[in-house]
Amino acid sequence: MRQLFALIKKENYTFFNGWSLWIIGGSYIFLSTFLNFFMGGFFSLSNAGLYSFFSFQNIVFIFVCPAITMKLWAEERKYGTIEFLLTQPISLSKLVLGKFLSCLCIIGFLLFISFPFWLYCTLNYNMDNLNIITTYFGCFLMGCAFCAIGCMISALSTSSAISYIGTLLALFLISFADFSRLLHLTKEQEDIYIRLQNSLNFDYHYYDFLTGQISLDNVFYFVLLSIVGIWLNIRILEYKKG
Amino acid sequence: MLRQKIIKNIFFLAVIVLSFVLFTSLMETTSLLLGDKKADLTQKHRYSISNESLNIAENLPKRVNITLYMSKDLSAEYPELGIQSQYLLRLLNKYQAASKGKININVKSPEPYSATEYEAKSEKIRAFPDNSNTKNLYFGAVFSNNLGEKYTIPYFSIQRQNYTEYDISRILAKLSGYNKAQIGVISYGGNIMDWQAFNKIKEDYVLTELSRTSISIPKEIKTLILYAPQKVDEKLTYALDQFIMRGGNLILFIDPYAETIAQRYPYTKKNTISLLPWLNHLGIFMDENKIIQDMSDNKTNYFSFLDTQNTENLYFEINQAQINTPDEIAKPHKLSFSSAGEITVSPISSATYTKILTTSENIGTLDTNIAKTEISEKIINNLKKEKGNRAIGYLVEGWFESFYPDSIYGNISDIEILPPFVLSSLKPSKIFIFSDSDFLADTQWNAINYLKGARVYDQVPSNNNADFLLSLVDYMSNNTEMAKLRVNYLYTDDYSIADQISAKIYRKYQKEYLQKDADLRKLQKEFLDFQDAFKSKKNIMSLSKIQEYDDFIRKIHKLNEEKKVLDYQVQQEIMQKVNYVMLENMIFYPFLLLLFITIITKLYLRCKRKQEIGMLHE
Repeated sequence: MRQLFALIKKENYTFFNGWSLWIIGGSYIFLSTFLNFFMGGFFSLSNAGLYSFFSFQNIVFIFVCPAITMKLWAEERKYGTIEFLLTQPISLSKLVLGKFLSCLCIIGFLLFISFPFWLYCTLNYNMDNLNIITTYFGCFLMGCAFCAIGCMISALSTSSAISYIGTLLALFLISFADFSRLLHLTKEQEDIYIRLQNSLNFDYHYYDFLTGQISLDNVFYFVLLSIVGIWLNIRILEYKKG
Repeated sequence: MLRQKIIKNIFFLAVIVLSFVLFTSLMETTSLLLGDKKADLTQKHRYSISNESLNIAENLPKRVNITLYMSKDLSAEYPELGIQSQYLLRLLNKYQAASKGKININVKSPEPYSATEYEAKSEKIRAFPDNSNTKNLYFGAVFSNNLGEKYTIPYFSIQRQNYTEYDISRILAKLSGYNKAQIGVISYGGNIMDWQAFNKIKEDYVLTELSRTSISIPKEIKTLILYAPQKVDEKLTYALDQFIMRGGNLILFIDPYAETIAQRYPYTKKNTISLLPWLNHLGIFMDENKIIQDMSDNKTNYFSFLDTQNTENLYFEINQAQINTPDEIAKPHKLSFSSAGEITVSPISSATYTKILTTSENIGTLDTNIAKTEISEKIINNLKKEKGNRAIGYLVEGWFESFYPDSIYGNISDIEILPPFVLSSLKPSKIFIFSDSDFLADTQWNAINYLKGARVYDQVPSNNNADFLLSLVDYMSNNTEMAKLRVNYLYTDDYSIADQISAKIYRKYQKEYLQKDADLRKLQKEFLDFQDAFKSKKNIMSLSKIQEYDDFIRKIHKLNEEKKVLDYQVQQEIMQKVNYVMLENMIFYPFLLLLFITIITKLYLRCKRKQEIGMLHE
């Protein structure tokens, strides 16, 4: 456990003690609030659940999460420190978990810097706070899944840029890709395709949180996706190591 | 070596594919095991389907086909419609699950020039252009059953999002077979048939306007809406009496001060409600010389805010706590009244009297004539504060005695064509009485909403009022399933954030508005007197009088200009506030927090380093 904490501490040290805090944190909050005010219709909607703010969080996270995860393994590999890390008296699974948890701390921090906006709205306008808390929970789970995928892709590449673009593409594909037109499916096939797409789609599962609803299958989706991501990350490292 | 590497690569790929397959199958299994159970944590469970809607779906007697015409590019072209489509699809799935296979949903995406597009057009689904204006998009649905009955929602608009469940449930109830009753309307308030409330009724019922001099109500009409009766013909009173004796249901809007009528006939100072003796006979009373105003905090604000804008309505809203509908009628979100009267009852033993709509504890009463003739300041000053909530809507059900002692009614010449005279109720009847006729007036509410800055169709209070009337008509026509349906407010039950900002700023300038308004009225009155003096030849034309005339015009013009400046100032302040809100939340607060965190981190690290150096020294 102590090893895990040490690893999380080490990873977060570089984030909080450098410009990453300002660049990632600043761009996250600026992008979120910009979309909220200029595209989400914050003023014209009677959005008690801050719908205009949270409805764009999936898009913002698609851009921000790869930036958090891109250098996790890619940089270690680039600077040759991965060999050193893998020879440390710490298991591979703990190593992966530590890196993943450090990403979650950053996701938590990003959500935390949006609290003043929530506080401001609650103090000045009529808000549905339970709905907002549910959406924050959904955002955090979505962040977990995005980071797990990001960690996995970072382990595959040696360049941070490739890792960023790869994660961005993967997240975009899972969120928005629709191949039904290319595949020329029949009605029955299309129904199966839509069902399959919905079971994989981030947006589909996030929407319920956005509307203040918690269901076990949505929580399970994000948790499972994170577990699969971490597990594949371990397998990739083992493969590369071997 | 090479073979081993190939095997390893294949194994690695197999692991990835296997994990993908495992993930999707696990997701499918969990969704099958857990079903569609969700905990709705929103206030008032906004995103949960109501029990009334689920009941309708469960009790569908016939199979219903829902064809949803939804373009694939909807989300990409209009993200708001994409969100709306997600909500709609989930809602339809809930209906389908509740119906146990009786609802069949078919989603079609009309591609340009395809057979599906032609089909959508022929089903009257509304086409709208995409952002590049190159092709049409569709977002509507057709509901049909095996009997060939068909209802179409041409377009699921964002503005009507709160009504999505309500509209679908009403259609499903209609497809299950409902009583499409004939509803009679007698109006004393002009052309009311075009009003929103009556348009809503027209969609589901046969609405027939009857003459104000009717001597009998046609027997097909079981429910009658009597709007703002003033000087009611004696023949009609007789017809109404006999209609009630037959077991007819009456929805009555009666008012000590009907603004809608006052607008048409501004010089009528005194309105007498000749129907009152008949109502008194039924145990219902109303003082036509007194109007009441709800003086609760927020309502007084609205009232004063409106007053600054030259409307002299004593306007107030009542909320769900003040609405006590029976289980068969949906409780509306809120209702709005303007210069309402007070209803009291003296119950007769054969009928039950239920107080449905009441004001809050803090009320103000006012003489009707003052409300009709005086300026806003005087209206406010003359409001007499009283305690105790007052009834503004009553439901009376039961058996009654006729108002007329016998059938021989001297003034009616063609007595022989009348239905046989009935001395007491043959069947129990229902009477719903509202003490405000402006309750339904579109013109009235549009003015109020314009001043309140309402932009969204769903927030127009007349919608709530109109919905409530529709529920009453459903209840009176024995369509209880439909009467129980309520509108589901998805975002909030209040106003948009822009409206809240505007209201706050308007309130700040309230006194100035009132002052300018009073000055202008005073000046206009003086000017009118000055002109009258010329007409009555009290004043003779002279150079000084012409100058005085010019001065009046100049002063009025100046005051009007000042009001415009004040308006501009208020608008500017609203814009400024909006900009501040954006600036504060986009830059100021988050970056302040980031700075704070940076400082804390640096201090923590410095302390730690000092500690470490200290330990090293030791």
